[in-house]
Amino acid sequence: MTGLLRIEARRNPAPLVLPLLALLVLLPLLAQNLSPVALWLERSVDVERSIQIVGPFAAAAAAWTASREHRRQMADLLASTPRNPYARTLAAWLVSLGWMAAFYVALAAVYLSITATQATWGGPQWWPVIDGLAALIMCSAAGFALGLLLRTRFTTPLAAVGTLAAILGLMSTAANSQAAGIGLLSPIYPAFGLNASVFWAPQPDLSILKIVCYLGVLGLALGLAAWHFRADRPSVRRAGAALLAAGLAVSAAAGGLDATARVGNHGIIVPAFHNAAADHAVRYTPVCSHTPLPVCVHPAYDGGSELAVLASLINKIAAPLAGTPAMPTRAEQAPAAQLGYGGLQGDPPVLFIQPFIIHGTSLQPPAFAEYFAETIALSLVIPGHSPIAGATPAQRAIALYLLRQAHDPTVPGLFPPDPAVPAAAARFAAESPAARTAWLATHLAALRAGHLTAQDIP
Amino acid sequence: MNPLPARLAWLHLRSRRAPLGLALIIAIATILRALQHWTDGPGVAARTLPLVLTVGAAAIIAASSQSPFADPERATWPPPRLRLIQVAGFVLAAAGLLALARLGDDPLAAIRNLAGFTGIALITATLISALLAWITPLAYALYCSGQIDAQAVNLWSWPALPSSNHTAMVIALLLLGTGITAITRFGARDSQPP
Repeated sequence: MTGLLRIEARRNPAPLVLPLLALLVLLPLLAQNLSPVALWLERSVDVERSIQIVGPFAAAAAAWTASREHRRQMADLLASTPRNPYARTLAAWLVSLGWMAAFYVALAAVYLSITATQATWGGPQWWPVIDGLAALIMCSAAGFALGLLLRTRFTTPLAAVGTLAAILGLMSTAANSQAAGIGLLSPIYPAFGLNASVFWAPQPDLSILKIVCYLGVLGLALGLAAWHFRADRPSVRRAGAALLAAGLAVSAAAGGLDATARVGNHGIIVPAFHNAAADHAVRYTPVCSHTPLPVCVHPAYDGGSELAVLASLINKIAAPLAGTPAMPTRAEQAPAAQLGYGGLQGDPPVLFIQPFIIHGTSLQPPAFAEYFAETIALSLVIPGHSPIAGATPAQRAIALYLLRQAHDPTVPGLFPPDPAVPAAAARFAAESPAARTAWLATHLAALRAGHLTAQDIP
Repeated sequence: MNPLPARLAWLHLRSRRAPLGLALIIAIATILRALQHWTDGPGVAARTLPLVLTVGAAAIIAASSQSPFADPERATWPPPRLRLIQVAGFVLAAAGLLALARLGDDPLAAIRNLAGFTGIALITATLISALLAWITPLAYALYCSGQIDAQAVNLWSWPALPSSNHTAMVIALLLLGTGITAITRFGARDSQPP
């Protein structure tokens, strides 16, 4: 068997496609690595998501290998040899898979090594990497079975395109629906959410479910492949039937478990795999800026210009509130799940900001920068835990003034066309700085409560 | 120029597995239509899925160009005309089917993308192998997916642009023209890895 594997390793076509894969996978990933903020979990999920590129090629390489005997018209000749045909074909598949798996492991090693030099907090997260590897094995096995069962010139492209379409189709169903569903099983559905990465202990529920599902599909694929050789040997027929039955049972179990999955605050919860005791907040000491309004970020985000950009932007917007009781004590990153609503929260009041990675020295893309600035401005003038979109015209007018004095453009969505709003903002801007500070000091509580109209603004 | 006997054209199409290829393209168009709800969203997967299925149709067209007779066929008359009939027929049929599948969702973009991806696949078939012609359009679709994800769609990722972009349309038609010319003139290359 070792000799056979050695011959296959020399003859297998999989290595020919690896340079192209390296180009496709590494270029975008390395471009992302220019970002100075490196979150271990996000980088691990990126490795898992590379299955979108590696998976289809692994399936195609396996289909190509499986159809070799038929393509080279060697089937009858090889049928006369004493070796078990299933074992012989399986060896060819194992080598094809081995090349792809080696590529994936090398990719993960390079990517996580770069992350190790950049990350400022935490450690590697292995679950996404492992379920990515399981997905790769599944894709390759599915391609192998297809190559054996469908012997046409179209098999290899169908294996590649079909694998990618299945991955994307599942992901689309997950992205386009609110409920957890079959789409969770897509190899590119993130095993963990960003929330879980730094604020909450990551829960491996979805990763375990994915691995179970992929093992089921692996059993089905190998069972179908063995069934293809059922006429040759009774032992192969029995092995094929057993693999098919086991694959069906495990796939059905994974489907059943997937139906019980729900989207929790800290990621996907699968009751059968969930460890409630391990679902806890992570302790950390925030890193804060030394600005009039201190801005604090999680230490994982303390890389590059993240803190400086946030501190500069938030302080510019909040500057007119300085010296008034309405000024929050600090702005601090919080898990996104808490931020469906805006406004200051807690006592003393704190302005919570959504965690995200800043690439470069400014917020990008421009539409997001505008949205973020408006969220900050509106959060300063609306009551705590209230929807940003529900701001009154008076609150919008002061928020618009805060944005304009900070030289930030506005997005039409949050500021519907209401002529009273820009007029009130312009009136307020025409006041003297002392008059503005005095008005804000005395009226901001009433403004936040929604008791003022745009006409009440001087 | 003598007219081609219909039987000769039919035998040529059969030798290229044209009926199976057409059935597969119909299946792809049906899947594309069935998944329309999931390709409407703004997400990367939703926007990439139609590109990938279009690559599938283009790959089938290119794979069908492989000759089972290799060099002996090149010595006969009139393979270039038969190849042109086969590829042009496939492209027209696939364009109609994909446009039907994308009715109400920029069908012109589907036709343009089919043209461009088919052009790339046919050029690959001429230079490398018809059976491996799927590699370049699929790799290019994956590159476009990355550009969609990075919100950096431009002419380098023209399949992700709307059909109203005339430059993208010209690029796709140029690729198709080059691909059809190459495959008609030279045929698919016979070499293939083990």
